[in-house]
Amino acid sequence: MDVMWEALLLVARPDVLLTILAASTLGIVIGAIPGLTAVMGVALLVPITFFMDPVPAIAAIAALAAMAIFSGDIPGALLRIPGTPASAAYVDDAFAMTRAGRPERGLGLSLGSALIGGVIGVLLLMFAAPLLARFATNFSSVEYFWLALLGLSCAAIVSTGSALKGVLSLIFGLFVAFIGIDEVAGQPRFTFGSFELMGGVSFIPAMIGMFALTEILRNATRNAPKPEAPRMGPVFAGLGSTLVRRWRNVLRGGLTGSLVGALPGAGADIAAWVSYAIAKRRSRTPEKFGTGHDEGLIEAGASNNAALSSAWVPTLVFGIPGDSITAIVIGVLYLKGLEPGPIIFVKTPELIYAIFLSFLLANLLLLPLGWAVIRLARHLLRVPQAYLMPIVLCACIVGSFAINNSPFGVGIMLAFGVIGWLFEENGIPVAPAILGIVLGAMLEFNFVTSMLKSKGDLMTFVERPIAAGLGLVVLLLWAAPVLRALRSRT
Amino acid sequence: MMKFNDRVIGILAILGGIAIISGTFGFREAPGQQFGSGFFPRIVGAAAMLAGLVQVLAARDRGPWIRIAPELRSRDAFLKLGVLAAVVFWLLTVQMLGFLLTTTLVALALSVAMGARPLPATGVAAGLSALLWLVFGMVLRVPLPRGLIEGLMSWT
Amino acid sequence: MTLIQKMLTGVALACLPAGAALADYPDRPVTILVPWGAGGGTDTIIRIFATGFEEAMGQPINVVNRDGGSGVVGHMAIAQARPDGYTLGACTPEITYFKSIGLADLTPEKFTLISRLALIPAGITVAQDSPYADLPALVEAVKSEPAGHFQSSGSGIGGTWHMATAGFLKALGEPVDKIDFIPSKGGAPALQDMVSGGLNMFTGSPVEAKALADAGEVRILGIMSDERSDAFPDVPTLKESGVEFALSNWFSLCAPAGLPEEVTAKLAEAAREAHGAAVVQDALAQRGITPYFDGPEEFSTFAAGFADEAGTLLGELGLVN
Repeated sequence: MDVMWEALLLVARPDVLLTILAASTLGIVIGAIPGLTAVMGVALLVPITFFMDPVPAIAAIAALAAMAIFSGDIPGALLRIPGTPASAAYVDDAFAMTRAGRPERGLGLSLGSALIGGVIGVLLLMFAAPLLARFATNFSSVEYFWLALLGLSCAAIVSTGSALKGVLSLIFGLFVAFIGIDEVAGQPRFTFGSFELMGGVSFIPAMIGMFALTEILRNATRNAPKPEAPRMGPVFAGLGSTLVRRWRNVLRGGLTGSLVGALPGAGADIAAWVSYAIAKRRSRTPEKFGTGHDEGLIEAGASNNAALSSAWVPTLVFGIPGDSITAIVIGVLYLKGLEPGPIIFVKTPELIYAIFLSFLLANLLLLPLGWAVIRLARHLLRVPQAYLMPIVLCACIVGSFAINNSPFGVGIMLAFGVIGWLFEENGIPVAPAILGIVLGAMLEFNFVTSMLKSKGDLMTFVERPIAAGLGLVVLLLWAAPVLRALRSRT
Repeated sequence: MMKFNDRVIGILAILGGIAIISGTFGFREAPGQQFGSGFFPRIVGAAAMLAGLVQVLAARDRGPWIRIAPELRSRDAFLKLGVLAAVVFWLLTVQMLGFLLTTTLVALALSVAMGARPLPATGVAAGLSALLWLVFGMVLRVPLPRGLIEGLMSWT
Repeated sequence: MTLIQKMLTGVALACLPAGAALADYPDRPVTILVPWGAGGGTDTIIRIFATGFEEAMGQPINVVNRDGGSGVVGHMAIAQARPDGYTLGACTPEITYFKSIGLADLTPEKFTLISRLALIPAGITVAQDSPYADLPALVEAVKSEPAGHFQSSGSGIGGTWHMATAGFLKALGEPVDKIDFIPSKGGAPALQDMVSGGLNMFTGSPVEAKALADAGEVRILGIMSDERSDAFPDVPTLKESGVEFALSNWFSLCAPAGLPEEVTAKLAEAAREAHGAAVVQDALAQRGITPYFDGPEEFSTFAAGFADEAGTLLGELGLVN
């Protein structure tokens, strides 16, 4: 328990607590404003966390993300513009409640289910991650190769929209991962003679470009409609009894979300859709879904916040991101000298537990801050785009500059912003590209070093039992859709 | 808004795959390595070509090659280009004008272009760049480019 | 940089009151570029040193990480910075052989070498369940087992720890590639791979292995320095087992070539003062890092000698292009 105590001391410091509070407030505002998403908020926060100690830095990201995913429900419920893709699954139900004159009901249910779902996810993270880490000390480059392949396969198969376009996005990400010096052979690849590119594409400016600049481009319009939000009744009235009555949905949402989130490559967005579908299938009144019914809203609302926390399990244990946010987190962990992997659970367990504790704290903060933002929502929704977008643009520029103290980062941000915008315009999902960039390097490096160790013997990939097991999972993952297609044909 | 035909996307992917593969031929062999620097890029290049081919064949999109939505032909198109131009302007002039002036100009131009009134927009733009300078330049010690205004402030 | 940018920068320089008097140097914050990641050895050393250096220079010191590309990006940025004394760097041994392995046109001549600040010796570490009880047993096994039996890591190919492995074999009279050197991205992943059974040896720094050794996951068998280290009093040196070899990674303060002589002198003076401060010495020693200071002349001579030695070893490893 010593470790827990040390961790508590690391968190219970005024600067850490203030950081969590500030990041939470920022997150809840960002999520509530249409056009600003959780991932974008995280991408813009990273250049600042860059200068903090590890615990407040990671805590700030965790807090901001949890808040933004919840408050993304607000513009969804009030204006039918989901603030984050994770809110899109149940936006119709929440908006129908607003039209029926009860906006506070939908938002209250979102808040309550987000809180409980978030806590379930954190508890899973706290108990599963260290156990998994213990097990993962048995992983050598061979197992890591399979894990990276597993993550990429999930990213390609479960991505939203056209599967083929998801694959194209993934391929683009893999290509970007090759840029720079191949560290095994010392060979510069696709650097076009630029020494700045020899270090590879800086991940964080690329991310800021793909998530924030893209959003500015989409919102850059002269005739943005002036949103008007309805008045709000008391938020907590009747909330408790509804949640108690729907305890099955809350619990199932939290657990499903935790499991989906822990899969590499599948994050809160997918968790919300999966849970909504489960709720509908198990409901006694599936025909009411989408017309202001509470079951799907509760289950998916709990699910996306649970997924947010459990996505950190593969991130911390294997260095494999669970979603776009944790993909950014991996970059931050490396910047902090905290290489994700089972070793940090042995080397600095107090740091890991401190991160868990700040997660729990951030989720509990949802209650007061969420209540406050629901009251304030009417005003937040009215911030004019003509001021908001320039502010975001300048934050993008200075953030991209600060990572390497070089205008080169700003250039990377610009290039990836344009690419991200073209992707979205053409229905190509961005998330697989992000995972491709992160996992591509890992996949190649572990393949090549495994081959060096075995002197070219491919059997090395199935000789160790865990490796063989992981390989089988990857194989099944790819075989399943093929088999299903064959069966439906005959 | 600016949508390529699905077949065009496929063709772009095929061309990209060819470019990646042809880019690997200059790589040198590493001693004692069976799978050199070119191995993975070639796999990915081949995958790009294959995925592109499937995309071309499976495309049901019979529309024109590039569709530009009507609103993009209007002033919004210039606005979007303007956002990109603002970043390029920042990159080109920041070394000369310094962080404060360049950032103010970029924010002001975008605000006004999006329909804000010039006077309040100037206030917001100047306040914003001062805040960023304070947070990043002063507190976080990022060496933001110095220029005309910063050169006059001897205390920085 | 494009032509336009160059012209604009020129205009900006003409506008600035800077460069007025060297006597005032330094009159604004100084940046030290670290070509490696945060939390790594170089970063730790420079950040410790900077606390003392800040006082000695009388100006704030910004430590900035520019990592990536096996150190090329950061070293290139140091070499290409304006030689005005406001951008310094933390050069590491790579500057002596970037050119010979064909990574970048960088040699010690592209830098103003101010002084080495610290050394971290190479070590030999094995997993807890390794059959080799101590250093003599391991040395015996390296001689008797066939080539390729041992697989070691700790850095990238051609990195300092790869050279340590090759130099150790050479001192034993064995072929320099008898131990397979598997590249890794730093010490932590290499150690993880060894703990999981993927490798049977780690020839990186004992500093990196310390936490795992304390946790009982690995055993540090030996250290490749001339004398035992205060941080690892129980770990014998190679020389105690009759292997005449020592190799340390070194970490230095440097600047772009062409620094004005007064500035170099001022920097060397301030660096010596900062380095001698008790806080810096203690903080380094506490982490198992050996503080070291040699000044501009000695450091330049040493770098030239190191370049020769490294060139020979890398040539035998077949890595020279």
